[in-house]
Amino acid sequence: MTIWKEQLTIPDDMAHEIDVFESQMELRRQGKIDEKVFAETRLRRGAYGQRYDNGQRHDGLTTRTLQFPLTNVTKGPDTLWDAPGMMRLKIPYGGLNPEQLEVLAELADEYADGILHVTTRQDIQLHYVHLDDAPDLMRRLAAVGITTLEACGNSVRNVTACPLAGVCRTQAFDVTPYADTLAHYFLGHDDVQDFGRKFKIAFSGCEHEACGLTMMHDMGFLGLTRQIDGQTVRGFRIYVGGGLGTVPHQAKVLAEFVREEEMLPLSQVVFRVFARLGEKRNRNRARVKFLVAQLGIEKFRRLVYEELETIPPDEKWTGYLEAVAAYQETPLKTAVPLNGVVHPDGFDEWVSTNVYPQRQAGYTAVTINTPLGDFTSEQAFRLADIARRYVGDSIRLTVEQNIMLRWVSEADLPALYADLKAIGLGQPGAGTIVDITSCPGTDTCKLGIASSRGLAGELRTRLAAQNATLPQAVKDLRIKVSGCFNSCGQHHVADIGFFGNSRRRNNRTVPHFQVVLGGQWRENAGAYGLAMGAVPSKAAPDVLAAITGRYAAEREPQESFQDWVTRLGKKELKAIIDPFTDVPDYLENPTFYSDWGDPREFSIGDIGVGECAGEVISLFAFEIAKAEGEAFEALIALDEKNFAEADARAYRAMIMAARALVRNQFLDVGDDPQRIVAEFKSRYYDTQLFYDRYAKGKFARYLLDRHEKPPVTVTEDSARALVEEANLFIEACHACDARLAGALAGGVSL
Amino acid sequence: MSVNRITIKFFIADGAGYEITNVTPVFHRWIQTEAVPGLLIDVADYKHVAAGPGIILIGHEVDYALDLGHGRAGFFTRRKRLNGGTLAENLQEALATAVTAAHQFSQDTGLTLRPDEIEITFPDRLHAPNNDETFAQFSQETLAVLQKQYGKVALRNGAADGRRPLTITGVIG
Repeated sequence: MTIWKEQLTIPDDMAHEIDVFESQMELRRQGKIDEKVFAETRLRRGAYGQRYDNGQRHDGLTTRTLQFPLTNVTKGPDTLWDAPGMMRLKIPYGGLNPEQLEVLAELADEYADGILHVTTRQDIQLHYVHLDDAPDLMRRLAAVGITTLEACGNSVRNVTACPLAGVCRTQAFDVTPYADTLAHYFLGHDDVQDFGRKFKIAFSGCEHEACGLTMMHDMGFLGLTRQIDGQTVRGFRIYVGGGLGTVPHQAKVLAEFVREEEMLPLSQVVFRVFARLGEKRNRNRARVKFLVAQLGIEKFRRLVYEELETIPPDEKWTGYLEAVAAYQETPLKTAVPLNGVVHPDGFDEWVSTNVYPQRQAGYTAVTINTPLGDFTSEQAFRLADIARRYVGDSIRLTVEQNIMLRWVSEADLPALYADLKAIGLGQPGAGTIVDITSCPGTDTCKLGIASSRGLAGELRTRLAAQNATLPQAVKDLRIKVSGCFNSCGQHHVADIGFFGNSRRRNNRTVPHFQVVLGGQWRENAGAYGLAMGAVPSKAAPDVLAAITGRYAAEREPQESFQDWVTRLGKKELKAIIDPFTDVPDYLENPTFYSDWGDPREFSIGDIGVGECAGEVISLFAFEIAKAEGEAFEALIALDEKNFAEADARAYRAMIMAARALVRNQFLDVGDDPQRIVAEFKSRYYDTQLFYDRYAKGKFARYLLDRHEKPPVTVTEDSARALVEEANLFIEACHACDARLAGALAGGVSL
Repeated sequence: MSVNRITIKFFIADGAGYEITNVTPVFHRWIQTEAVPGLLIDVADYKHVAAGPGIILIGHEVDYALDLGHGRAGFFTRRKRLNGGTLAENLQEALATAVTAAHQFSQDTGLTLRPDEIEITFPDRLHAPNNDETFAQFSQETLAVLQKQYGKVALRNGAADGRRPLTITGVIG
């Protein structure tokens, strides 16, 4: 029977990673990997849990057990193996090409529910995916250059960048190649493996636009130029310690201006400081924003620059700059103005909201408004055709859950509009009040409290119907909805934000949304909104109408929504919301007791333990799990009578295990087996730290002997022996780590 | 030869005026009462997506949907996690599940499904690539299964675009 592994051409390193993960899956099925370790392992491969994956679901009448076939196999604490999950990809700066879009369409058909979902971090998520399908899904992505590595988990997440980077009229320079370089340089990097929490990075090319939203990220890079010695020098203002979450933090300036060549080393030392000093026990205070707040930016900066003095240099820090200097997107077609063409119905409205004249004369960037970030496989295939016809490779996903085509010649706009309309993606209103951002919420997220997508869908429908009569000032507002206080829907930076919660009313639990007003999208997420009060979910559309009605009626000329909110004051704003807080009695209006799009009587019983925080496991545990995966691959090779491969993999497994142990003392040992073995020998063998009480240094000799004298000819016997020895060596590494941890805990000096 | 997924769609005869959200409580009720085959998990609402999957009842080994794909409203049954068995066996089983569920769907929604048309899709590009050879092979097996159920059936290729999953459309009677 044919398998995908045999059909695809995948870069070796990506293929190997996926093979190891597949082995780790098998080891977990056999109960040979701890479930917490496996949970973090799969999260770092983008395999996320979904709502009800603990096997319990309230069906409107009672909580039922979902009788999955594998009842005793888990993929994490309280997370059943068979429960459908979500796969998150990693798409740096949201950049896609048509071939990738087609593969994504195939994967949505074959492994998910036929829908591709654009996230608020320029990624794609596929929902209702079974974990067993994950390796093949990853292979098919790898074949077109897409990884899922570190899309979730306690590491550096997808690096975002303004979707107009390179074509923006106000940019300092194109930040695209820098975002791409940083994303790939740190993918799987040693210094991003030991975080207590996720780390999000964004790039901006403009200070005052909405752009990359650097102010609300763990680390933000704002592209700037300076005149130094008569030369225009590119660089960045670096921000650190921003973030939304439950309590949003504005980022602080780490460095007012650093040259481009400092981007990577400075990032690396920030990661080191975070890994070393960041909170790891209290997950609620483990983001870097808390560390920056606790230390203060001055001390944090000092620690960062002290760390910079210690790290070994890497030629890759600057090796990419030549390619950056030469980086240029090439339009597919020559720019031709739009001259005297008859405009189809709806075209002018669509142009006014969805078309952005680029800095390059005659070209435009077109935003495709995908409803709630969703589009089908069929639409993806057609979009690939459309992209090939008009723009070539220049497709970007946006953090507003839309898709952007850049380098569209003006003369092509009417035909492009017609093509988009034909596939149901020609709606106007991108970036306006109808273009509502929402997190998945209670649809699929374990942490969702109220239905963010339900509310967003309802608001979208109502606002689209009213669009013709809405004042322009209201049309220009942004609405964002989160299903809970964790702000994955970015409600803090909306003009009008909502986040889900619940209230007990009349002896029942009623879904509510907290209303958050006055956030600022512009100025790179310049300010956060204030919570004004919670209203029942079913009253939220009326609250919106009341707020926007007052704003339209009372605003002063040119007064922004933020300024109006400030002028009106919290007391007056609360007075607008208060009349909507009442919940009618159940018999009077039972619809208040269920949420948008869900007829079940509302319950918070389905809220689970979220996986956004991942599992904090030791660096050793994480790395030794990879070694175990490699050892398992060696066993498979042995079974397949591929003795040379079995030998090579068994040896590599021992190197990986030794490295895991060495990194307990020396983080920068690198990947060179020669160095790893030398460090292992000096730190653990010569010191006898590795010695087993009875076997002494026997297990260490398995590695040392194989390293010093690789076999001239590999036989079945020699391969079999080495595979056995590799497993014993790995066990010995575990024992050594445990012994030393116990000795340290007991205050024993080593 | 087998596949991992088979989708069977029956088309709605006359859905004019039917509000798609009316099916949401039906699907939730199916979960409560285990009205159709399979472990039923949740209801996913995609009515906002043009020509999309509409409202889906997500299950472990089978999904059901009031589907709007390619602009034609219908009820589909998507049998997934097929593991082993021949194509004929899997088709037989998927069809039996689809027919059972379709009856339930009509009963509970009041919507009539066309008795003269069926669409079978094989979203498994590894084992069922959409090409002439596979179409010929799969048509043979599909025809045998459908004839057993319906008698006279004529088949044609329902997905000319090779990127789409292999799709066989059947005219019944």
